[in-house]
Amino acid sequence: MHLKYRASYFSPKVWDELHRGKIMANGPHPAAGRPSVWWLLLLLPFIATLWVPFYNSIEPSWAGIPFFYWYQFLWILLGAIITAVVYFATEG
Amino acid sequence: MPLNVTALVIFIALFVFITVLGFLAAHWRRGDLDILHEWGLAGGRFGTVVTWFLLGGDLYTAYTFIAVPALVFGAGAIGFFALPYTIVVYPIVFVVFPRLWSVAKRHRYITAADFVQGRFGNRWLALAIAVTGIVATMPYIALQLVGIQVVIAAMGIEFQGNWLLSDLPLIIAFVILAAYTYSSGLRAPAMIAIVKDILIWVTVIAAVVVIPIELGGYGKIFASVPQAKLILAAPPANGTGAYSAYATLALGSALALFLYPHSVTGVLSSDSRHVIRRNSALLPAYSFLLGLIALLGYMAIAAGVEKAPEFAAMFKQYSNSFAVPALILWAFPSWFAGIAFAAIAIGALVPAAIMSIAAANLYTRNVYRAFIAPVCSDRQEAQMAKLVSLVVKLGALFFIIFLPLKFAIQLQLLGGIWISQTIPAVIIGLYTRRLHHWALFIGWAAGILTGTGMAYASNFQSAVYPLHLAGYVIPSYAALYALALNIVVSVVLTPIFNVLGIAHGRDETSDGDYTSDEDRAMAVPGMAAASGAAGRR
Repeated sequence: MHLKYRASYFSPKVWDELHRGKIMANGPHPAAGRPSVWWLLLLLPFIATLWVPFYNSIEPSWAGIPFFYWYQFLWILLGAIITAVVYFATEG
Repeated sequence: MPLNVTALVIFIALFVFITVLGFLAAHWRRGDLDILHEWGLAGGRFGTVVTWFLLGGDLYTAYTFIAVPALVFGAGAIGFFALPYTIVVYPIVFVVFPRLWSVAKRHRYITAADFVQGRFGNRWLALAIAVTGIVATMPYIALQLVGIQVVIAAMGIEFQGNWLLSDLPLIIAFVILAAYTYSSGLRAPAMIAIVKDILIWVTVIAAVVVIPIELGGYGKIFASVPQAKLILAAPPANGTGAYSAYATLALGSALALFLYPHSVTGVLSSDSRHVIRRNSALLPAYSFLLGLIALLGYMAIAAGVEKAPEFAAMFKQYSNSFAVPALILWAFPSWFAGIAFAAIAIGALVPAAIMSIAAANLYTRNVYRAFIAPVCSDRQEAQMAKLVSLVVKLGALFFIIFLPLKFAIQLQLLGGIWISQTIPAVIIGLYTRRLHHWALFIGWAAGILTGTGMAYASNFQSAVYPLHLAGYVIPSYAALYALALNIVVSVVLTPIFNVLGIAHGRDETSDGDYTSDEDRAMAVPGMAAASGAAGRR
């Protein structure tokens, strides 16, 4: 419950409701739309691509392509998938 | 270079085609082009697909297509910061920019400075945001011309010693651009963006399939890159070295990208906040494209174009910017080179058009209407914007013809640092107005001065500033250091101004405005509060 509440800070919708006083200090209001942990997923691309030591190496290379490159290309795809997942989980 | 007739014919044919398209665009999703909202935002009627093409054509510019592989060609792995940059930008867009869309829709804002004016009620703060946007955009437009210049030269059109004749093709291209932007507004680049993107996709897909076959596969390509360029240098014992430079360039550029006026214009021309959310998952397709284009830099190394005698003169004049055109000439028959060069040149026109429209919107709304002619009619406002879009393009043209190229490059580098200083007022402003408007103004000024000073420290050669902290060196994108100071100043000064009793401005927005959908946008004020109350029951 506590985790969910903190996760809500990443949701613009919840920010608004917070400002309007719909969410009280003791937790989300029942009707305010459950704050979603889905938004936390959006942090993954930041962690994966902004911490350079994770991927600044040649091995494991793939078909002659150094890790540095295929790892970052892979994260373009993963980033898009993550955004799509959060989109479908929070839309409507 | 000898005149490449086949390539030139195809190039001109495609150019004529998009010119016709640009003028026809005035009739597309017809609106009254004498209203700024119609001319400058196409009435805000673009759906998911058109927005995808428009933003793709807008953000991934010809300059990017020339400069990123040029950087990779010259400096190696560091040039790939474009990948994490365009990976992390979309989660930011996904979370933040639907809010800007919603509040802008409800209050008919067409620029970020309009929003800041409405949110904080301080026209000087809005002016600061507007001027920053205009100044950051101008050199960016100028650099688009470099893309055109390079490909025109690559087709062998040169007039030694006669600057007027040499620049004539560029001038013709820009006059055409100016004419259809004037008459069709944002509809023209939106329509042309579709053609441009198709040409770019065709070119790049052909390049990443055909060229590796000619060079013996990707393994061979990477093997021909010097080891020192292949990955980032490990940081020294007393600092974070290339690691922090790489990560902060990516993060700082990502934070700044959607604050550029042309990005805001693209976002606000979409017809719903859901379009922006959807495109956050769809636009990474262009990031993938950009990554492939970056690889062209390595292919150019592997192909050894720099040592080819026929390209020597061109490399001398355009240095690494000639890497991609040289590779295209090396790898493809003339007719396909014509298509590829047209893709690059048209890829310059689309963002140049949108940038000039965005700068015109800013000037008209936040300088002309706010300070010079507060009572101008809608018609006068739109007329002024059309004229300003011409002036902006003319300025960019003079810039490129009469000033050394390095000024434009250095100014564009500064532009990224400057535009980042609008983040507190715009992005934080989308969530809270607790920060005092004068604190934000002073924070902005502090950020601009610090960021400029940091760039000056490298003689405007580099956007990365090595911060020395007790013997430890942390190189970082200067925009982020300046932004940190900007935020600290804003946060510290806010309670001081509050204690001094300096009033907050009037906020014409309400919390519900930031999450509203378009259909509710027309509802009477107070609706949001009423529906909120209903939801609570």
